[in-house]
Amino acid sequence: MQSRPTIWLFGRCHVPRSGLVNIRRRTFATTLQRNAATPELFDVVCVGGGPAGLSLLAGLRASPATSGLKVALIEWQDLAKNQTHSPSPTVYSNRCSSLTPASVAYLKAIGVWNHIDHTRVQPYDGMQVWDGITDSRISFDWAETASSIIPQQSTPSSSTIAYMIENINLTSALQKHLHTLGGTTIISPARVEGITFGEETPNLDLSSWPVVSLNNGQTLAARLLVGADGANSPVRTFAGIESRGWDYGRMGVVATLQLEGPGRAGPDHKIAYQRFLPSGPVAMLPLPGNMASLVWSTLPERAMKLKSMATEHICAMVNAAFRLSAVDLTYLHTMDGGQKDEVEWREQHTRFKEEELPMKVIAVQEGSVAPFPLKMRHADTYITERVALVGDAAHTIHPLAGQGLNQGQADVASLLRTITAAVETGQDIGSQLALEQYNSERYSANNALLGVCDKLHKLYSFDSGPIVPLRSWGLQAVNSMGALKGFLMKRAAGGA
Amino acid sequence: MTAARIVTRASPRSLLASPSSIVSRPVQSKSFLSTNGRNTASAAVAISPHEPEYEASQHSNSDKAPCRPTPLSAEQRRFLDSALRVNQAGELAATLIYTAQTPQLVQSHPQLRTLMKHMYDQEAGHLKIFNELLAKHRIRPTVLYPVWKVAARTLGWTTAVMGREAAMACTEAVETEIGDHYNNQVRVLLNWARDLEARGETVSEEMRELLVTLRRIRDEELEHLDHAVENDAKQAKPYEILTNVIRGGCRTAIWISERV
Amino acid sequence: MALPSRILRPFHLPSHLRTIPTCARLYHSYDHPPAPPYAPAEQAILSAAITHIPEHGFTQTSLSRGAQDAGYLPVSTNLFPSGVFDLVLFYLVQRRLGLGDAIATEGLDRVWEERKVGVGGRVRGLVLDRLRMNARFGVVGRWQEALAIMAQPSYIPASTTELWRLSDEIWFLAGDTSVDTSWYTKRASLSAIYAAAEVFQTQDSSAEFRDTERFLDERLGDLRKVGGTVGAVGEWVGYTASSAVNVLRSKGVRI
Repeated sequence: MQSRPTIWLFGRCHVPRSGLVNIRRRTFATTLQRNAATPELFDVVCVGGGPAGLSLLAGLRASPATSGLKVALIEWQDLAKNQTHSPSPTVYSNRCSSLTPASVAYLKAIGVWNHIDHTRVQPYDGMQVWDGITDSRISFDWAETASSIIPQQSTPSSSTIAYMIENINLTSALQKHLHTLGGTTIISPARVEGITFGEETPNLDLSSWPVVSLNNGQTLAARLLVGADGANSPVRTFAGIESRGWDYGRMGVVATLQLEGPGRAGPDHKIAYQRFLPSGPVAMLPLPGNMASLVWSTLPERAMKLKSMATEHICAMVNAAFRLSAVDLTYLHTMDGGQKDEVEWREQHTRFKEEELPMKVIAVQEGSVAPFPLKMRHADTYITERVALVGDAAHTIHPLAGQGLNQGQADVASLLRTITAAVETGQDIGSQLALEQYNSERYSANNALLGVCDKLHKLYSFDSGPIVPLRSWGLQAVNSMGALKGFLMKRAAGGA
Repeated sequence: MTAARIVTRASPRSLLASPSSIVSRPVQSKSFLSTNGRNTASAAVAISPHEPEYEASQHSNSDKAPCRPTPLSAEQRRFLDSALRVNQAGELAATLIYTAQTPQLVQSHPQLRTLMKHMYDQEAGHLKIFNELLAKHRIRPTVLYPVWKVAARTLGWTTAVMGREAAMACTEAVETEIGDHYNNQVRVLLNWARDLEARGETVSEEMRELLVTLRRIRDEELEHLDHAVENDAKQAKPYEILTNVIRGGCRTAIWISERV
Repeated sequence: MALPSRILRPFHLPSHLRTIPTCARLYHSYDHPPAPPYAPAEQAILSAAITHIPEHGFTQTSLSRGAQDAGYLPVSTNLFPSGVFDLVLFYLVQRRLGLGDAIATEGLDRVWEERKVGVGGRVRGLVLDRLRMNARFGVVGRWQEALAIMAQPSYIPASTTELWRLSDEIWFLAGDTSVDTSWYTKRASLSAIYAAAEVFQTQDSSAEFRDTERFLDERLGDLRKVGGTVGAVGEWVGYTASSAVNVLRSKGVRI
């Protein structure tokens, strides 16, 4: 094994070249650098400029220990477009996320939170979750719960369950912050064409370094290659890391809604609503003013039908999803039109407590209805030698708890700590040994969350049988136990 | 012991030539056997694969189809049936052994990542070939399919836990058996081809392709064996017991799969 | 009348039919296609006998009439060692082989391609084709007799083998290429469904066997549901096991 590199060296070099190396080494070295095929060396190359990738780079640049690293970001969409984004106050993107206080704390720590457009962020402190079959309900409300378990915590942040934010608001803030910090090589738009191991040359051994080639001809060699490149991660494929899980056979339908008012408890006390239907949970999350964001998990054919409906009927269907029975909903989905009148008629004959339900939807933002497939995936590991995966590249979760983006931010926070520790102790940041801390911190935590969301989905997909009364009983039991509820709320908020 | 083993596996390779001669010139109007560079090649009758097929029908009992090539005998069909079935099971096991070994090996020896991936990719390619052959020629998979899956994962996992040398010794043992196994099949097919050519019949494209495929796969398996030896398979402790147990297991598995 | 010498020898079951179900089929060669399963004289007598089934059933009479039609002495049928069972088996083998011919003559392959019919849809279509053959040859009313013959202990192995071959043929023609454990479960479940549908057909008085078609669809639906559940459970077990290992590995346990 020891003698192998030598053999390879002679085996690969052509005779005239090796002569050149011996005689005029300097000339050879400079030609090498001019050669387009010679990769530029970086300490960290991050593929993917979504919330996770951007947040990692912002973190690396912001932290004094890691700000000396040479870092690059590759994103196939044009990131410059995000920065010219100037939204109207009554129009909201349908791609929203619920940021937990833990994620917000990290974003504050790396200095991004100041760049966020706060007029477009909606904190909420109440949560209503109920069973679509039995109507048993659990309500989370910091105002009530907090007083019983955590005495005297009245600062606004401590009573917030989560913050609703448009993804674009977050990414453009991250970009602004990256620009202020400077020092990041941002290559966008550029597509990754291939990732291979580098070559071994007389003066540089890149044989264990991943080299990313882009469609613009650039090549980048990475001491540590970070895959923040989404569910179909090319970095994960390169690293040969298997990703396991299943498709739910459901679609999530997102939409931006306009309600008849700012909410049951006024503009300062917003509530998130989620109802578990056998076809999947439907959730309405508050946005500033009278706006709200919809995430409705349902059967693919229903999702497609919903997308094709006229706006007035979509409104009626969303109102029905929170009010009518599962049987009624199934019927409404089979109708070829006229859902609006049908829902109005059926609502008169159904008993529900309007004060426990979200306000009625009066409009759906044009073009905001979009379905996406729901799946669960978990990579076998987040690290191998010189590769780390974060965010959706490492795990894809059912959106019912709104945890996807937060998991990514927690990954990034942990990876940042790991890299910082490696730099401070003089380790190679790409080595498997140095990265193990990250995998150890995040893998089981994400695994548990993935498992909980998956089981909740399965638990509520039954519309009859012994499971139904059991789960109602469980929900009621939790609801009546203030301490347990407080614990759950703290967990949901991303606290330890 | 070591020397003897290397000789036993090296000799068939030199006897049966490299596959490239056939791959690059699959339909030459030259004797099928003579391209193999075997000693007996000179005895073979030079025929063209494009010769009309009615020659074959002289040996056929069928009065209905005078232009049919000789049907394979029940014994030949049974041989191909069990041979391809065992090959599929073997390749399935090989992919699973590498799958089970890779995470642990790569975790402690990152430099093995490329090698493991290379070997896995080749095995996955072989498995795909045999899966397609089974489906095409309507051969049932082995009844013990799930059993081999568990056994292969266990073997891969156990040897990887024992360390790099043991994992490589496992590869060496398995590939030695598999190499022998493929060699036997190649030999049988060559005998058939020789019989056919002796009778003045053409060797069908189907059989030619199968022979080329089997040779290529055999050579790739033996290449894995070389990689294993280069990576200190012989340093595994206890080498003799480990390899003998694994080779015995392989032979038993092959024997069983040929039957069920 | 001069009998060809081979007619005087008893006919034997074609060799490929005398095997146990798991070995139902050997390597299928394309460049060396196997010889036809029946000798010309057997073929002639049995084919002719089939035309008499609607009137005389699966009986010795049909066999004798068939021999006569084919130009042999009625007594030559005594030389079929299994008697009427040979007739039943011949009927089954011919109809099975007819499935492939039907695809070729009707250009079903192209229709399937164009309409993007999946393997499931093709299997359904082929099973229906096969059931319709029973109607076309007028054996539906006589099928109970055939079932009674097949149920005789000495004929059960050959009958089940032929059933297995039929479902193997259907999966093969439908383009199914799975060669794992599902190879067995698919053939076993289709055999069961086909046998049930064929029995149902004998009781079916609806126009064009609509009820049989509905019965078949229900059984195939059940199969899909069970298959889906079993698949999901297996997937879940596999995922849970590997995620347990992955969690331990992430914590530094060398397993």
